[in-house]
Amino acid sequence: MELAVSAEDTQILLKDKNVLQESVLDKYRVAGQISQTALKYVVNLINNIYHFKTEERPLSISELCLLTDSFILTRLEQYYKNKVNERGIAIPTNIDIDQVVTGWCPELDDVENITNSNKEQLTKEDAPFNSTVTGFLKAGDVVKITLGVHIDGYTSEISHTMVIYPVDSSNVAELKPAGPLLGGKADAIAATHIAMETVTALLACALTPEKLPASLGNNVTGSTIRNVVDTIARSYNCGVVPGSRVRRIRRFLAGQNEGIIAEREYKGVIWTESHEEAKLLANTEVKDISVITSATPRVVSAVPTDNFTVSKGEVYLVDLKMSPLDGSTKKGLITLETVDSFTGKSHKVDQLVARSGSYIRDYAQTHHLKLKTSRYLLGKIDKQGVYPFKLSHLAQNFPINMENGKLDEELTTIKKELRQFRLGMSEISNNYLCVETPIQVAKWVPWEHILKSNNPNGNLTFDATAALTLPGHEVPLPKLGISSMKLKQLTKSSKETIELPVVRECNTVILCDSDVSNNGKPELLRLTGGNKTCAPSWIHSKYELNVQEPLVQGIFDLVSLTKDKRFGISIRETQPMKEISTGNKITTGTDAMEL
Amino acid sequence: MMYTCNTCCLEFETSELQRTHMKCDWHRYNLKRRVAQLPPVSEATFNGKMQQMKESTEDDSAKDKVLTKKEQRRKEKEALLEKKRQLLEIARQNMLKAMQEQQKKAESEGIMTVEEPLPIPLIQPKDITQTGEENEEAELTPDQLAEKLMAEKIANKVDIPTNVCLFCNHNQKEKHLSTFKDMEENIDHMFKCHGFYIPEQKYLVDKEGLIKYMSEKIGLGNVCIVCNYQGRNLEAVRNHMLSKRHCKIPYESTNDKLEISEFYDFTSTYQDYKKPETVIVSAADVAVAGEDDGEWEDVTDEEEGEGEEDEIPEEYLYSDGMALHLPTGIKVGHRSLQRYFNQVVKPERELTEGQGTLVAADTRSFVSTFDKKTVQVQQRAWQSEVKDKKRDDKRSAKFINQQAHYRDQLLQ
Amino acid sequence: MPSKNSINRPKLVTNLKNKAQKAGLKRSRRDQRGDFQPARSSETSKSGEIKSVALDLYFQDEKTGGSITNKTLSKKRAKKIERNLKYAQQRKLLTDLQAKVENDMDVDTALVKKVKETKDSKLSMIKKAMWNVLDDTQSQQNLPLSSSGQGTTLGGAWFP
Repeated sequence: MELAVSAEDTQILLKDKNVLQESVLDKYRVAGQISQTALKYVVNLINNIYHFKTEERPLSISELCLLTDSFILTRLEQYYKNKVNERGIAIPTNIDIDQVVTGWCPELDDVENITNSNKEQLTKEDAPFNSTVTGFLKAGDVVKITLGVHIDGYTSEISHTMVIYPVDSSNVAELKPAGPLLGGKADAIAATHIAMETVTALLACALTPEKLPASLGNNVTGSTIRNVVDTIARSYNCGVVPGSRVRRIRRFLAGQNEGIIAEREYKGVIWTESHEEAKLLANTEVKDISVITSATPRVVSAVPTDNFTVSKGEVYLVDLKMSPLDGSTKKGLITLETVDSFTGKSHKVDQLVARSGSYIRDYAQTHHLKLKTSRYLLGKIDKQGVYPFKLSHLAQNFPINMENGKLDEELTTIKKELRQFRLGMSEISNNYLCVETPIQVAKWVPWEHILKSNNPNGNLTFDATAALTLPGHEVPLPKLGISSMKLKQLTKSSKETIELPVVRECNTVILCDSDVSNNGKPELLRLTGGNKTCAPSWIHSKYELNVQEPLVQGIFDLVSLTKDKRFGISIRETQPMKEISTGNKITTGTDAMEL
Repeated sequence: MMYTCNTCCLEFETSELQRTHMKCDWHRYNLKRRVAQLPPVSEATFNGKMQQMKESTEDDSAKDKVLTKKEQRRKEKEALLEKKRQLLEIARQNMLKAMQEQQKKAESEGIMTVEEPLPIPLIQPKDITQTGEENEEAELTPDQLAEKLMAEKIANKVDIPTNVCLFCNHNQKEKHLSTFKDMEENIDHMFKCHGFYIPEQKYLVDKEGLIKYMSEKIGLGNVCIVCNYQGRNLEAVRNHMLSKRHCKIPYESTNDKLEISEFYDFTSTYQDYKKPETVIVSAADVAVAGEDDGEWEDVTDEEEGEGEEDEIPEEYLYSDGMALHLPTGIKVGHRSLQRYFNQVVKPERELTEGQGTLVAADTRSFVSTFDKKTVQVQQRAWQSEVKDKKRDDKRSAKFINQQAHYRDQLLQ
Repeated sequence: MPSKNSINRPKLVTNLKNKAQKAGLKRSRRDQRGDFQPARSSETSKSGEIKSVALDLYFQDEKTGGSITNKTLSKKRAKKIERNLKYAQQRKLLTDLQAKVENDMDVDTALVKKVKETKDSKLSMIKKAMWNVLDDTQSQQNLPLSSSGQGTTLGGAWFP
């Protein structure tokens, strides 16, 4: 790389700035509060539109995203005004429906394009991407809302899944959902919720490893976490979607650019296709053999492994995605397919054609741009920060002023600015200065189809349009020697591939040592998530955890530990702010509550 | 390890000593002796030999000095003058003798004009020299030629007084035009009419002497003060100077400056020049001062010495090849480094904290490890491939026109 | 233009005659040398053998009644021949040894095949194992309490 940072600076940036002190903790707390508040805001909006039907004009997804971002910025405006260099939106609000896993945050001017290029989705009601394309939700949709806030690089990210219900309009005074959600989606929601709570408890227990239940081992390691999540997923007949991770985050390194920069000292558990493959072959004699043995030299610490121990003073991002496997009786591989904006494909119902709305700047690349607009845009982007951004965030009248109620006017002004930005953005992305955050869809391919395939070229193919991959995991199926290009081809060629609905929960937690926590005991500070904001929707799943299994017993013990106030582990949650109506100056009311 | 010199049979403690020895004359002499297969000589003997050489060559040292042209000319002139004087002396004596004889004759005859003796001494030396010439034509050496010329010049010498313009070539009638009341007016006239500027007037001490020197050059030597035009007489040289406008005192080169330096006093510009300190001496101290003159001077000398150490030459103009350092402190860059002074360097990219963190944490690098030998082998293989292909193409092109079977063009 | 490749130029006869003449000259030269002397049919013929003057002289030991010859064997050449004979003997010994050693052992033809097997056997092994696992769906993978238990209920009759 052309740029390099000196050793002393590296030490400061990567180690010293990540030491948990009061100031750092405070920034995290405020970021967590704001993200919780923002989530509540969106959920309220969605409820108002679709459940309570109080809004006259239903807002489309792109508008919802923009409004939430605007809300976050206005709320953030009042905190750390001149005390911090960088603060803002860490992850632009994504609203992914059903099969779309991540990345759905279309710009205002892209809505037309999407509807134009996905006309097949509009014809049928039960087309997989119907809601995504129209921009309006319907009953039975599983909606994943993701957003993130950062103050001075200390990030808090939240993702929550909610269900849209058909409203029981019998009792107008008290609107409630018609009934619980059933079926595979319910299984996935149950599994994800339980897994999230368990992992949080597990991480809390890492502060005092002696309290860990015996069946879970002595220490909280990566493999412990993996086992726990896999068990829960298996119990609910779900599969963990590749892209899930439980990882340690640091200042400015909150997993927002995982495939772009190869972060050193990556400490975390990740789930990929290779792990699914390994799980299949776990009890066979071939569990140690693989056709592809990676020989390319790379920095060892940048490759995520399982053999790390969770320790105090670290901040973890728990991002779990699960999808139900009740679509077929066969075993299959859950894989991710990237959505691109190339039209003219074979107009199948299972294809989605769209352009991503958010971009990530790759600061290691430099290029002298020719267009003045693109140079101007790049200047603006460089001032934004190292997190993903949307072009609307760079507009003049962003954040939107909600007070005067003239939403449409504001949106049209933003659209006009977007036209300019698009021109500059094309040159910037052509020169790899910015990378689009990929839109990913979860697909299921039966193993039979993969095994029956003949792979004469082996691993020689390389998919340049593949989504960002972590170092060490460039080949999705190393045991079988199937490259990403081959896998892409296989998913497309099989007639049995299904798009799976995905449920996602993502929280940020801090393992506070006794010297930074409030009451002198080591505790887990849960920045996002918890009952106030991430309460599960009304679902009923026919599966449950099998108490006979030792691991499940360990899980139950863990949960009882969290409830034990005296001798158990303590988890503190961050409450959202009270006033969430927009446009008013608020006074923070944060009351911490011990679980 | 001891450092040695085998030629001089010496040993040294450090390499520095050895090196200094190697550079000295004694060692060189020993080397020459070794070449001549003579045994080496000790330092004392060498010094003794050197002393002897010095004494013998002291007499010749004067000859070895390289004289500048002006100095040479001056020396020649002086030598000639000397010889002229001697000649004159001889001539006078001869004349006197002749006169005495004539007087004796005249006394005996009783006729003598008084007027004649006056021009005679003037003319007679000419005649004498002419006769001398006739007598000694065969033995004319350049020295004697010079002597002759010198004598001629002295004969034609016109003494230009300081209040007469050096350059104006007026005839007898107009001579008053170039005669002034005093030297200052003369100088003024010469400056205004002919452009005769006296350089460094501030440091000039002996103005009259300078003018006299110039007038001697023109009047006696009949030589142009700017170029080395030698005129036959005063009129000629004056004409030359007027027509060529050579009415200036050349002050460009060091030689020109040296020529007239005896009329100037530049001691005040010297680096270590100290203004004579004005000491207020009371009446009582005068006697003391008078007694301890030597000591008083010593003290001031010492003080001056100390003062000198403190004063670093601040007002110095010097150039160090790349820049000219002015006494005011400004450095003027040399034009050979123009391209670097005109360079516009891209400002270093300043990273924000976030960017810095990302860059620090990033492990991507484009350095691909490649084995030089395998790459070379591969390249050689490619090259040989290309060569073979070309060779084959060339060979197959020979028989492109080969027809295995006879083709009758008129096949019907 | 007349050249070797020109089609209508009569060159058949002249070319043949040329070749015949040259062949005849060659033959006469060889005859003069004495290459045809013991006829090919006889037992002492040197047809197919190495024809070397130096070797002949070295091995002949014939003293032909002092008649003059111009066939010489230099001392240098003689030394070389002696040396080469030595080498030939050594080589012979070596090959004898090797043949002896090899005769005691059987040729391993299975070696070559084995390597190939391991290469693609990895993939085939993995594939086999995977097929086994997939076909094994009957055992163990049935989720316990899938229908017998109460299931899990989360949330409630309100909008969270």
